[in-house]
Amino acid sequence: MKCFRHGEICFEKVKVIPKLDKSVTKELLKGSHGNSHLFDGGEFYPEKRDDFIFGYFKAKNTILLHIDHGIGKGELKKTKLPDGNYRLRRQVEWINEQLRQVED
Amino acid sequence: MVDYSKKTQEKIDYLCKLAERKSYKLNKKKAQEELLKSYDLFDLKRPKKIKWYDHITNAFLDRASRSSRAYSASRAYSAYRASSASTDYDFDYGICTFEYLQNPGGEQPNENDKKYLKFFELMIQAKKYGVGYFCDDNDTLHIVTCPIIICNELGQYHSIEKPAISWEGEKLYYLDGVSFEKKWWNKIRKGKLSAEEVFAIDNIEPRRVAYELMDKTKMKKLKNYKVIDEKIDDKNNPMKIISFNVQNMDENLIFYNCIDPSTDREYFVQTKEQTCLKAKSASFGFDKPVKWINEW
Repeated sequence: MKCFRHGEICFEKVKVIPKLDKSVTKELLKGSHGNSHLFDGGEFYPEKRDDFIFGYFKAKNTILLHIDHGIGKGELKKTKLPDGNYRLRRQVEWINEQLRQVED
Repeated sequence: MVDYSKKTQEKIDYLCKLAERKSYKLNKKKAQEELLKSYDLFDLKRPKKIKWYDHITNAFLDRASRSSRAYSASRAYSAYRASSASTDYDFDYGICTFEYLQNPGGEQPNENDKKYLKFFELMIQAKKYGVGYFCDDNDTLHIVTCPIIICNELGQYHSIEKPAISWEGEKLYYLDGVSFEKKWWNKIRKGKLSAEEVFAIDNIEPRRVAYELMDKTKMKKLKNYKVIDEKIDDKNNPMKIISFNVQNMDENLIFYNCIDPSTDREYFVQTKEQTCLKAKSASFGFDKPVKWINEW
């Protein structure tokens, strides 16, 4: 598996994206204190499959935006995600024998 | 090189001073009149009643979010929802309009630009007299007094001496932008939190901040503390797997210790894995180590 990581989100490269409804928002995940993982360019297909997988993403001229994760010193840091199809996974940790989502 | 006017810089400086003030004298009469003038400005009927709050209450948030019912009612969203009711939520747009009216360049400002600037000035005045947040609902203007806010150099709510956000009616405690209950904030700032207590924090961000402020020699006091794997990641940062035992638990606790490549922050992610590569992949639900092409 080949992956990119943007904070607590993993973009896992996949060949095809299942048929799903496209999100109307530009927000992939809301991190701690309302710090959202946003994108500009591309299509997000949300689908919660399990504790980890929360959807798919078709990247096309995609820029990921986040207050902490990325390059630069602006209010929102920017990251170019290579074009392609991705399965989206979120980071989870084991706390007291239970999976708990990481929100950094 | 500064490419905006001196007047705009003075306006920014004034607004920063206002935001960073350590105290102010609340003048309810003048404050609410500035807000009411904004109704006149847009030919709107002034609300008949006015209700003041001495901090952001759930009752106020309910009023403020009537138009955005889709949002969760959880506390995590509270600050976000309240921010749209703040007097200075439009800070950057207000400053841009102010500068545009100083130096319009090619296209001349119209009446709406001038009207918006008047509104912006009214909001600044209202804040000066003590308005933090406001909204209207059912012919009532709901106003929350302005909190005193302390931030660090990164603009995060932070103070090790006082509550980072304080109203007369409520105090909120933050360290590096992360909120803590007063009890925990006090223990962390006074260095009284044990390493065992730090790792018992079940939320990764407060755990990170508490660890950062902890005397690292306390790690040696953890029972059966061991580093069971060490690696250098693709960004040349060290990774570790540590394990230790806590009272009343049969199994050791295991944490994957890593550095975030964008912020250089040091995190401890609880895991069941024994190696860095497996722990990292497992935290995203993979059962085998994966190839990380790039990370931010």
